[in-house]
Amino acid sequence: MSWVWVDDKLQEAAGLKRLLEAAGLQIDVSKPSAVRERIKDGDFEADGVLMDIELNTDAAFSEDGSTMAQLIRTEQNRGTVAPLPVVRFARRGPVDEYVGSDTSSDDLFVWSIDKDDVAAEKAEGFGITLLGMQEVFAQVGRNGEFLSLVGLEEESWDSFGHPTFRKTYERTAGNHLKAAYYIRLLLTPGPLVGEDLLAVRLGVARPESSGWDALLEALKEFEYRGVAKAQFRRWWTRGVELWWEEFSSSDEPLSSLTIEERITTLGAKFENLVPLKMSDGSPGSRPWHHCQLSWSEHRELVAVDPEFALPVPRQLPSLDVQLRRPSEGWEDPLVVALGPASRNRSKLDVDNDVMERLKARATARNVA
Amino acid sequence: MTETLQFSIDATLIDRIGRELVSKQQTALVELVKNAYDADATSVDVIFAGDVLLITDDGVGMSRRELVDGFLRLATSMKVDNPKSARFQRSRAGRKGIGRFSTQRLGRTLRLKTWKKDAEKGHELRVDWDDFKQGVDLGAVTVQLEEIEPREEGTVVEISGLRDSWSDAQIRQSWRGVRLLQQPFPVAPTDAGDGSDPGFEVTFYRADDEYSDPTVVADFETEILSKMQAIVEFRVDDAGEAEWRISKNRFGAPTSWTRIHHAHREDKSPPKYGALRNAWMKAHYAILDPALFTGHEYSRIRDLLASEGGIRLYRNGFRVVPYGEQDDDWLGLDATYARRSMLAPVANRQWIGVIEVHDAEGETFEEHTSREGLIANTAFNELVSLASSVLVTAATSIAAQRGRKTQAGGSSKPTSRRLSNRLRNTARDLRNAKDDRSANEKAAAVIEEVSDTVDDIVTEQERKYAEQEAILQLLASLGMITAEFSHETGTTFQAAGSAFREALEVAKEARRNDAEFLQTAENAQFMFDRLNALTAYLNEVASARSAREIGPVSLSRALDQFKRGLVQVSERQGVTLSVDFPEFDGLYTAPMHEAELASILLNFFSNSLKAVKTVEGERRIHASGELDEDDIILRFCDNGDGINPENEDRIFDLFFTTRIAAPSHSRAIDDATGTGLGLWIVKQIVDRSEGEVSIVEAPDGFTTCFEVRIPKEEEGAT
Repeated sequence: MSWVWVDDKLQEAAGLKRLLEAAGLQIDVSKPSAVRERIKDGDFEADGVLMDIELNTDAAFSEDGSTMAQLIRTEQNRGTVAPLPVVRFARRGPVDEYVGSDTSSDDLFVWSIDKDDVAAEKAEGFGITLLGMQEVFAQVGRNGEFLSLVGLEEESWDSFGHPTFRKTYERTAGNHLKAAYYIRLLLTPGPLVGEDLLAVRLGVARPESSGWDALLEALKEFEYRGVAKAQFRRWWTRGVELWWEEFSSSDEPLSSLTIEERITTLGAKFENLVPLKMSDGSPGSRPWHHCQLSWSEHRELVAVDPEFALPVPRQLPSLDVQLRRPSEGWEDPLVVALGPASRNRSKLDVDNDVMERLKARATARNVA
Repeated sequence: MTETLQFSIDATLIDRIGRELVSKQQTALVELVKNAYDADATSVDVIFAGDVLLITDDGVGMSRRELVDGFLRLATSMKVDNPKSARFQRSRAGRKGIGRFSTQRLGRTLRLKTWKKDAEKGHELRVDWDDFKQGVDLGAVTVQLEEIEPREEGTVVEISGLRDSWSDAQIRQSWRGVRLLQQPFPVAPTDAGDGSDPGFEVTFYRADDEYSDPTVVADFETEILSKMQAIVEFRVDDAGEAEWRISKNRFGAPTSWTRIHHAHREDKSPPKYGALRNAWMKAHYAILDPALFTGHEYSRIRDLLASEGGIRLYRNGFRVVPYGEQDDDWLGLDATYARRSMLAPVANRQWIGVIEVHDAEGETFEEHTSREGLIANTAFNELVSLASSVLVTAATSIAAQRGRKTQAGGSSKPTSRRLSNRLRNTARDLRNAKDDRSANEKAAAVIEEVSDTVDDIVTEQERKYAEQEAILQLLASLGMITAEFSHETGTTFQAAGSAFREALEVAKEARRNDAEFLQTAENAQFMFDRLNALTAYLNEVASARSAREIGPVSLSRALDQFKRGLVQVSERQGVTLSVDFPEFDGLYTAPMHEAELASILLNFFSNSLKAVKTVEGERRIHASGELDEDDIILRFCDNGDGINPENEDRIFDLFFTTRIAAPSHSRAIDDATGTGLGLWIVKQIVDRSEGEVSIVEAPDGFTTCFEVRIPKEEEGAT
């Protein structure tokens, strides 16, 4: 089997297809009208679906990608289409135009990719993530037993995981919905974090630090070993924090320390770690999150100190291609750094008084 | 018995042939003028004096033999045998054998006096057409030829007993009939070449009687050229140095000769031309706006320019076709105007002009073997580029001055106040005057005068707004096209990008030992990334959202986006682009479009890029944003060649530019710049936002600094 990329411009899809396939997945690009026929004929099989949104140059198809995704969802509910990940795969412009501020169709997709990002960045990373999603759907279909998915013993899950996540997962009916929910655990910072955010929390400038790999080795015990572990390199947040307590021999939680304090502590055992430098417009010295807006707009990882973070709702329509849905209790909050927030007020739904108070604090801190 | 007989010809045949061949009086007159042209005349006067018509020329005249064998002999083959005139090699314009019938068509008697150069005597032929009566054999009718005293060469045709009355309109119609024979006006210095055709000038006069001073009824100068609003010239000397000027300008001061080279548009001392030598242009320019002419003038000039407008080319005094013929757009003026890359009117129908090139040895220009046009060699291409560049630059400059003139009259507000005060005062005077008739008369005169003034103001304002509306419509449609283009090309650009990257990777792997190729590949990758960043920025600016929504706009965000989009473009041109804005302050303006702020930055940037091109050493552009009590302040500075103080109050005028325009055949990107629209657009946006834009003292290290102040958002707007 292979992935099916639903797009109306077959010739233009060829280049991106080859880039994504470099990760090892296979992709067939099909016109929407052809895919619809196969679905209606009960003849649609795939490892996953990449769904463009604007499909109007196919003269035999007058709907958009969201409509097609809904058709797939319906057929999955009926059992005529097997569980598979459906990923929104479109440029920002058409998403703006066809989806806009209506978040109701976002739930139809497990992930959203901006085509421009694939062209501009390492396409392989996107391909690997897609393979990981394919693996999750396959595993959930074969054996959806929770602990085998997360790769933890009961006791460890109790320490590292979050009870609400497990409860929701196990209550969810339908393997396609279960798998989609599980993928949120892998994509959204919360119980699990990726390597970039892990470095932020440890106060390390990862690209410049030759000692980073040695530090990761020490954290090996807390690395994610569940389904699709090859594609999703993650660490259990709570595990890392427990490790820190033991390592630092201190009651002071990692998040309450400054970058300098974190690096100093780590320096007792690990060499060649360069301290992280906070970006312009992101004040503070105790980074814990990434600025969602900087990532969404410019694919920049900007570390944010919670003291100066502006939380934004996960359903915020203007965070471009990110999928929007109500926050779960186990997910880290979405935050925006003060500088980008002050320049993009119309995109965010932040309290102006909060912003002014944070600005005053940041200015006072800078002056001091 | 066999008899030998002859046809006999009734003398009235002359009359019948004449009327059938030349039915209209104007045609007859035109034919006589053409005869003068064929005789290599350079000047012809046509004088209507009472019942007499005089046509005098300075042509080569006729000998006795030419008179007898040519003029007096019907159906002579003289013109067929000699299709070119003797002296200037003109293609003969007169129709075969029509001249004599024309004189018969016009009047009852003819006195034709003619003199050859250096001849001992001249000749006078007298014909009384009334002698050609019915019943008289043609051979029996006699005409008189006698010798007369010598003088300089030429011919005088005197027709009396005119058969028709002549109105001024009919005289002008005749004049228009001969106009195409003329090189409109001399251009090159008269000593520039031997044997060249100095042109052909026809002037129509009317005198009350034969002996009074005649007044000009129609000639090219009074009919057309004096009504045109500007004269644009260039000259290229025998070393290839080119200069241009506007020698007459109804909308502003003339300019003096200034060096020019179309390919060195920024250069104040441009180099000489490599191949082009000895060329001159004089072009009369008209903006076809009814408000700028009287009713008759407008339609006459519009019609003439529609059929004959353009720039004609003369080589060594001879017209070179097809250049300047109707529908021949050899300088690309119509194309430039049609694609609206040039907004000031610059089409062929705006011009009547002549380019002369002197190339006696035939070394600079080469004719096609068909003798239809010149081979497009380097000199010819340089000539085309120079001419189109000069014409477009001049039209732009005139458009700017014209807009300025509109503004120089001041806003209509004080004028309207002054007028309404006059009306109020008049009303007051009327009340006080009661039955005073002279006061009534005076009031009526004031009201009439004010009405006329109001009409003038309304007409001028309508013209101004129509012009601005046209430009704004154009800009709006360009914006929509850009947005649509951005939308439609997005996927293709992205697909091209990924295909390009993949191809590049494969190529690099295949030639991994070829250092030169790897460097080229790296350059290609860098250029593509730059294009990508620029495209992303333009897509953002052109997005429907930023164009549609109006609200407080963050200058800090605009500066941030601006730098991200253009820093690589700047680097490529050796320019360091920096921006500065408060770390935590969005600098929100009063409601406006996000795209407007981006447009201000882009226009300043485009201007600065041109300005710093002359800088040797570090080229710097810096934009900053800050806040004061009431306003958001944008400062845009560069260390380029600065702004001439005398231009400081004009640079925001429509079409004002100090740059030489790109030639008409240039790339679109070249002629999109330097159109004098950029700062005008900035001013329009700032005005609409109730802000201000000005030139302020540049900070250390910079030469030019624009400051834009836009009211900040109102408290509580969020």
